[in-house]
Amino acid sequence: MLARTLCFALVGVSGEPVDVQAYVSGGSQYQFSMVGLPDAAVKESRDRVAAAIKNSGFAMPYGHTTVNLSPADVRKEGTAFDLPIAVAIIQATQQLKCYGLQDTVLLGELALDGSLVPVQGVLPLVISAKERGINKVLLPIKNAPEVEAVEGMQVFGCRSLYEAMQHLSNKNSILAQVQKSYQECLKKPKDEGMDLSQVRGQQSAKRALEVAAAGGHNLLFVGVPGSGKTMLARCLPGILPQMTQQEAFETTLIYSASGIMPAGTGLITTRPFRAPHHTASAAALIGGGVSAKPGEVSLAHNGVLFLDEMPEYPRRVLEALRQPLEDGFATVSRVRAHVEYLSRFMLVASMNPCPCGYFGSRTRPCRCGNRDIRKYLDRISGPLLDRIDIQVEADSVPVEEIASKVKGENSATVRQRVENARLIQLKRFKEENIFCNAQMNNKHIEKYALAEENALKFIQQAIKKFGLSMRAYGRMIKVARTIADLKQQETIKLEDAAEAVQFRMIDAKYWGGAEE
Amino acid sequence: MNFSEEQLAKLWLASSESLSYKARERIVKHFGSALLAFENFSSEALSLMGEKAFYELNSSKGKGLLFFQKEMDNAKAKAVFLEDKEYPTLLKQIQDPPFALFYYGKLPQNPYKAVAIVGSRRETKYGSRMAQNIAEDLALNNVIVVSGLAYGIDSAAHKGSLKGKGKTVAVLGSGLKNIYPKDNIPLARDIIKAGGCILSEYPLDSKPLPYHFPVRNRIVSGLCQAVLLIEAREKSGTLITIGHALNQGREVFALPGPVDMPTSAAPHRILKEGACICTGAHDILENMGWEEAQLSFFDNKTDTEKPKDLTKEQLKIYDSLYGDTFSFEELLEKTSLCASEANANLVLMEMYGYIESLPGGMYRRKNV
Repeated sequence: MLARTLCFALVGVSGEPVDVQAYVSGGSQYQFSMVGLPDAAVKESRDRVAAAIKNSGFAMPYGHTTVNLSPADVRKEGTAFDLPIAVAIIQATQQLKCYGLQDTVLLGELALDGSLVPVQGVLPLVISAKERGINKVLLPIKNAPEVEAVEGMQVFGCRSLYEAMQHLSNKNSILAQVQKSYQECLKKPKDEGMDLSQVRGQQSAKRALEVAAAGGHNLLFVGVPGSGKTMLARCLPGILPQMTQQEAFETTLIYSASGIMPAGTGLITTRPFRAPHHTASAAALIGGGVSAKPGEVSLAHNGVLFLDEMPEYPRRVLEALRQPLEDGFATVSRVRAHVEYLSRFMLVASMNPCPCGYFGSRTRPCRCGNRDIRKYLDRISGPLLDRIDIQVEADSVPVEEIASKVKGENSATVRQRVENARLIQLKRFKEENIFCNAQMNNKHIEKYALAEENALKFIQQAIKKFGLSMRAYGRMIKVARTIADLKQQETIKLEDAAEAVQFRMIDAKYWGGAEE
Repeated sequence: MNFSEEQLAKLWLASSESLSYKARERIVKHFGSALLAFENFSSEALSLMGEKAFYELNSSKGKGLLFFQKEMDNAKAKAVFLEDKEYPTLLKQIQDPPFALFYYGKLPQNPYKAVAIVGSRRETKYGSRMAQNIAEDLALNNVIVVSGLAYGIDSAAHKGSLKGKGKTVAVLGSGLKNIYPKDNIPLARDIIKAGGCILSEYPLDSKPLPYHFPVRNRIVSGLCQAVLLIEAREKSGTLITIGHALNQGREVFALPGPVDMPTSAAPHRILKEGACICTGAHDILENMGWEEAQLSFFDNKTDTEKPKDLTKEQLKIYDSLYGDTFSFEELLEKTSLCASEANANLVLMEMYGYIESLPGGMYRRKNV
C-alpha cells in the first residue's frame, strides 16, 4: 500500500515542501530502498528508521519497501526526514491509522530506540510551512522553543516516535505548545558583556560608541596597544537597542539554518556579536561550503561584526566585506547552491596606528618610519575605509595621568539614550523597510536628513579642506542625522555636522588626504 | 646638444665606470688631449690605468666616436665637462670633481647659492615636515636646494623647494636612464619642469649600485656652500655626505629633533661636535650672510593676540591648549565640556585654522 507524509527540506534560509511517499509491496525478501536524491545522512536514515520502528512497538514490513522523496530532483540534506519516513512506512503497512497527515509537517531525527532527536533549521522550515498555509507541525520537543514566536502555528513537541504515533492516531493527543508574543520572548535573561563604566577615561571613544550604536554606524578604533580598544568594542552589545520582532526573526532564521543554534534556545533576542579571528578565510566571513552555509557577516546580521586588529586580516578577506557592507546581503554561490543571506551588520574594527603600535603615543616613542606607517595603513583600502562612518582614536594617555577618577556612565544610561534615538528612527523609516540611519540610501538622505544650510556648507568645506572623498559626504550626513536624533532634534544643526566631521578626521590625518 | 670631437672623446673617457679620477687625468696628460688619447689608444696605455678600465675603454673605442653622440641624442641628455665654464664652480673646487656631468634640465648658473639637504630615507613626519618647510623658505630666497632624490628627507626637500617655486638639483647614484627610486620619476619630472636639474657623473646606462651612492655624496655636498642634516640614525650613510662636506670646507648645519628618537642620534652628535644649529631657514641664511627676504614658515607669531571670532566654549578650548599638546581627555578635564560639544568645537576650530590635531588624539594650537 502507498502512504504519504509531509516534510520540508532546507534550501538556504527557507524551506521547500517535500512529499515523503512510502510503498510496501509483497515479496519473500526484506528490501528497503530510498530514492529522490538523498544525501549520505538521509540514506543512512534507512537503518535508523528500521530500528526505531521496531523499538517503538511496530514492525518493519517484510518485503520490498520503497521510499521516495518528491520532488526527486531537489537534493535532500540533514536528518529531519527520519520521522516522516517512519510514519509513512507505518501507514503504508496499516499498523495504525493516522489522521490529518496532509496538513501536518513532520520533522525530526530518530534515535535507534525510537526517541526524537532535535534537528537543524527548524525555524525557517516552520516559517515556510506557514507561508504555504500549513499550520500544524510535529517536531522533537527540544526544537519546540525555537519556533515559540511563530504566531498562528500549532506546534506539537514529541519525545519519541511512539508519542508521535499516539498523537497522530488521536489515541493520546499532545497539547499544542502555547505560542508566545514577541514581548514575552524579550523577557529572557541576557548576557550583555562588559559595562561601559568599567572603562575609565576614553570619553571620545565612548561618545563614538554611543553614536554608532544609536544609528547602527560602522566604527573604527585606532589606538596604541593597551588603550582599551577591544574592551570598548566588547561594551557595545550592552548599549545596543532592543531588536525589533522582524530583526529577531531574521537573525534567528540564519542561526537556525546554519545549525549553530543550541537545541532548546528560543528566538534570538540579543543582537549577535561576532568576532572572527584574523586567520579566518573569505569563505568563513562571507559564507560558503558545499551547501553554501552563511558566513560571519550573516551570523552578525542585525548585530556586530568585530574585527580586532583589522590590518592583520588578509586584504582579500577585507575587500570581500565591501559588497555585503554596501548591499546588506551576501550572495554565496556554489555549484550545488546559490543563496542570498541577509547581512546588515555593524562593522566594528580596531587597529594600531603603525606596525610598532606607538605612533602618536606620549609614553613610548614610535620606531616606525613614515613609509612603514604608510604601508601598514594601506592594508586598509580607501573604499573600505570610506564605508566606515565613524573613525575615532582611542586616547593614548594612560588613565593614571587623568586627575579625575569619576566613574563614567554605565551601559544602561547610555542605552536608554540609544533606545530613544532608535525609536525616532524606527518611526521615521516605518514605510521604508530599514531600521536605522546607517541603512539610509541617497534617496532616504534627501528625504529624511533635513539639515540647516550652514551645516551642509560646513561639511562641504571640510571635505575640501581635509581631502575627504565624496562618498564620505553621505556618510557624514547620516552620522549627523544620528547625532541630531540623540538630541531629539528635527533638523541637523551646525554642531551636529561638525561632530560628524570629527568622526572622519583620522581618515585625513593618518591616510593623509590633506597633508600630501 | 652637439658635441665637438674632443668632447665626444671625453664622453668616451667618461663611459668607463672603473676609470678612476686620477687615471683619467694621467691619460689626458700622457696623450695631450682626450681626442688624441682616443686615436692613439693602444695596449701601452695599460700602464696608466687598471686592467678593467682598459678593457672597458678598449671595447667602447670600437663603437666609434659618433656612437657617443647618438647615445646622448637618444637619451636627450646633456653633458658638461670639467673645463667648461658652465661647470658649477663650487664643484670644480673639490678634490676630485667629476670629469663630466650628465644632466637633464638646467644647471645652476654660476655664481649661485646652494644648500644640500640630506637625511634619513626612513624619516618621521616631523623630519619630512621640517625638510619641506626649510627647503621652501630657502627656495623663496633664491637658494638652490640640492639633494639625492631618495625616499624620505631627500624627496621632502625637493618637494619643499618646488613648493617655493625654486630650482632644485637632484644628484643621482645611477645613470640618467635608470632614475632610482622609480617612484620618484614623477618628482624628477617636476624638478626639470621647474627649471632645476637631475645630474649624475655615471654613464647613462649605469645601474644604481650600492657603492655609487657614497661616491655620489661628494657631489651633493660639493655643489653647495652648506649642508643641512635632518634626521639620521647613528651610522647612517648620510654621515658620509657630512664627512665630504667637512673635507670640502662646507658649512654644516643640523636640525635638532626629539632626543628620544633614534633618528635624532646623528644630528645631535654632529651638533655636539660643532655643527651649526638650524631651527629654520633663517639660521642658514643669517649664518651664510645671505640676506633674508621672505620666510613663510617661521614668522614668529606672538600668542598674545587672541582670536576674536570664537565662541565661549571655543575660547575655553583655545586657552587650555596653551603651550603644549593635550589629549582629548585632558581637554574635557580642563574645559568641563561634554564629549559631543568638544568634538564639534574642536573640528570647527581646526577647520578655521586655530588648532591642529595630531596622531594619538592630541591637539595643539597652530603656529606655536
